[in-house]
Amino acid sequence: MSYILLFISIVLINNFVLAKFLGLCPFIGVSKRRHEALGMGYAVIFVMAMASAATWVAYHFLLAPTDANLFFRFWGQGKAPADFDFTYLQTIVFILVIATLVQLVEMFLMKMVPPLYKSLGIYLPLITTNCAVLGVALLNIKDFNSLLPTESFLKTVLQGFGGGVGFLLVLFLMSGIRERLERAAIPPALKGVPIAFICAALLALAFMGFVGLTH
Amino acid sequence: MLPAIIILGSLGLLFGAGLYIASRVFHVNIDPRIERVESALPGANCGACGLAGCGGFARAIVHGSADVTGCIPGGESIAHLIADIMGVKAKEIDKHVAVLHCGGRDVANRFEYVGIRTCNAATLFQGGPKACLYGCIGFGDCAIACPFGAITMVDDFPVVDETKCTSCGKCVDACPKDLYDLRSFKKLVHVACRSHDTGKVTRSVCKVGCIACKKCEIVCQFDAIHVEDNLAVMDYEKCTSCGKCVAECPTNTILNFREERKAKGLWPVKTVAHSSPL
Repeated sequence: MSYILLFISIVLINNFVLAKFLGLCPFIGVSKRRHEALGMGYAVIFVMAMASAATWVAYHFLLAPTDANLFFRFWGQGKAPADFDFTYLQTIVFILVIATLVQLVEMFLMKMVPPLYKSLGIYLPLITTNCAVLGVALLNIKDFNSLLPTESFLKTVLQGFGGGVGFLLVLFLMSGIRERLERAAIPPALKGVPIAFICAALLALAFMGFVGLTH
Repeated sequence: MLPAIIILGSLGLLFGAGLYIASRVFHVNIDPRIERVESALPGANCGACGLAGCGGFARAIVHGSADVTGCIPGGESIAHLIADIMGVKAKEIDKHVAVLHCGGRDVANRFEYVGIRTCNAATLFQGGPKACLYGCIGFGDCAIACPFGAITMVDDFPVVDETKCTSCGKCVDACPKDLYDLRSFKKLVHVACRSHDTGKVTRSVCKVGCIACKKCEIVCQFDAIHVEDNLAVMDYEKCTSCGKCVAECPTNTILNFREERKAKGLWPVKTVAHSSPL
């Protein structure tokens, strides 16, 4: 049950774009055509889920001051796990992990799954430095750090996947709106990005209504 | 300080080495012919070949999934260039042109339209201002869409310059009334109407609209023209462009392009003999 709630929460209530204001660059940049929005959205789902899993591994085995920390395992005789607290490195390590992962996935797809590469390929490099991906990784640590390892890992991957789904949903809605906007009579001063921002704000307001789901 | 350097340094080294190995393991050989074919193409990325841009078409040719004659705007000359690169012989290409299936220059307006002056926008509002709901609105979306300047608006009605038309199909997509079709250049007779209204309704709004009188159907010896749903429709497989229906049509809906093309020196089609080194 808590898993379903978590999924709904991250897709609708705590949506990355509209509630946390992460990933706004692709939200405005790639939301002009529905077809492109879908391609980008799928790529983000893919990368977010993978990155969540990879950063969880990096955090728990390298950075966190727990029994699982590899440094504690090998050089920890006579010391407490707390002496191996490298969590202050998490941001930079996560960036490194995510960037490497995206590169690796891109190469892997190009060789092994060309059709998928064709549909996601041009969007993958865009995601490397997407703050929503880093955001979900940091958020996972904050939210699920106190849980048992198995549950923490599953919830981490689910939050990554759900975050991607939420991103896809919002991007797709926005691209539909923007396709309509192109044909609407808009004052010249507001044409293009300004009206898109206004629509994004209205969309965010509408999504705030989902907060009521939790009550 | 030291743990940070060790952790980041070793991670960086590990990932760097990992990516290096991955780039070797997952190395993809790219055929050098792809680049050559792509440089031979017009580079308009018009998508008339049905693939994603000129790059996609070049890949498809080299991989054998597209024909060397597939580039429609490029025409015969580029087909032969590509054929040379690929070491095959190009087949003769059937040149196509965009044909406008509407002749209603003098259709009255039902109301005064003051919105955005594009056909697409006008169509969204009550199907556009023209009295004929099937016909040309005349705001020239097709002329704007044409990347080759082959469509010009003369008195708010589009005219296709067949010497410039490369049959890329942009106008077919742009027209909200779906009035354009790409037809073989060898076919000279076309029905310039798309109206499915009954004869009486069509007649009341347009002098040159098809009234579904079926005279063309009767006169045709080749069973090539049929009235379906109040509109004469040509079966181009059977049509020989003999022009009998053109003479018979009481409303001059069916047009014969023969004289016009002859005057421009486009007809008869000259086939250029070309030998490509195999």
